[in-house]
Amino acid sequence: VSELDDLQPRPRRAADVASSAELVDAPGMSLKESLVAERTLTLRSRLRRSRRAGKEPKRRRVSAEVKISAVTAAASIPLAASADHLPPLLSKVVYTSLAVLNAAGVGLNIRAQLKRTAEDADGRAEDEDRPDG
Amino acid sequence: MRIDPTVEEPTRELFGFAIRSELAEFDEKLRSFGDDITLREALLLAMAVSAMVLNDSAGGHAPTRERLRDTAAILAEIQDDYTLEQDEVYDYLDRCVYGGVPLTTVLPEGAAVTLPFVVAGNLLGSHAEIEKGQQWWDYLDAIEEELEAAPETAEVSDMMRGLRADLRAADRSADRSAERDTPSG
Repeated sequence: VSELDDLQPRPRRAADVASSAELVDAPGMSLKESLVAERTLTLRSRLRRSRRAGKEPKRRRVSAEVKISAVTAAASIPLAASADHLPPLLSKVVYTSLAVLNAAGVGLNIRAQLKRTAEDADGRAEDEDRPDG
Repeated sequence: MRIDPTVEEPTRELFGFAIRSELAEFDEKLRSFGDDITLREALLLAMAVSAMVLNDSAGGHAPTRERLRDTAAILAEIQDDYTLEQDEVYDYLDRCVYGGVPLTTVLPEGAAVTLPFVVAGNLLGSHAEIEKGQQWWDYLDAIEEELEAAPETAEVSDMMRGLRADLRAADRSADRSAERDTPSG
C-alpha cells in the first residue's frame, strides 16, 4: 500500500493511549521523567479542550497601529550578521524564516505527488469496481 | 515575512482539522490547494508556526535537542485519535524546522506533506493557555503578528524569490511533460 493513499495521519487504537494514572504513577521515575509526565498531562488536557472548542474563526485583522509600531521598531534595528545579536523576538523570527525556507524550498514536488496519489486512488477504485475473474 | 491571506486561511483550517481529528476533511482540504506554490507557502507557514510555539515554550530561544526529543515524545503521547511517530516528529523538528534540511530528505513522501500541518496543529492546541482563556486560534493570531512584524532580510527576500522562480519552472516543466504524454488527435 502506497504511503500516499491517504493524506492524513493513521488512526490510533484507543488501547494504545496511556491513562493519566499510567503516565504519572510509573515506578522508579526520575525527577526529569516526572516533570515530563506532568507536562504531558497538562498538554494533553489542553489539547482535549482545544478539540472541543469548536471551529476556528478567521484571522483577526491586525490593527494599523500595532502593525506600524512593530514595523517601525523592526526597521530601526540594524540587522546583525548573527541572529544572536537581535532582540529575542526578532532573532527567533529571522532564524525561523531562514531555516524553514531552506527546508521547504528544495526538492519537494508536492503537486506531482498529489496528482500521482489521485491517479493511484482512481486506479484502485477502477480495480475494485471490476468483477472478479 | 508577509503572510498571504490566500495561504493563511486554508492553513488555519488544516490546523483546526488536525486538532479536532477531522481526518477526512484534513485530507480533502490538503488536496484542494490549487497550485504547488500556495501549498509550499502553507508548509512554510506551518513550519514557522511550529518553530514559534517551540521557541516560545523554551523561553524565546531555539529549544535544545533534548527538549525537542521530549516534545516529540509528548506529542506522540497526547494525541488520542491518530498516530504520531515520536522519531518521525523529532527528525522533522530537529532536521527540517531547525536544521533546514528538505522535508522529503527526512520524511516519507506522504508525511512530508501532512506532518508539518499536523505537528503545528497539535502544538497550537496543546500550548495555547486555554485555562487563561487563550484559544489556539488566539495564539495563532499572536504568532502571525510576530512573524509579520519581523523584517524581511535581503537573504530571506532572495530565497523567497528563488523559491517562487524554481516552483514556476517546475510547474512549466511538469505541464510540458503532461502535454507530451497526452496523445494528440
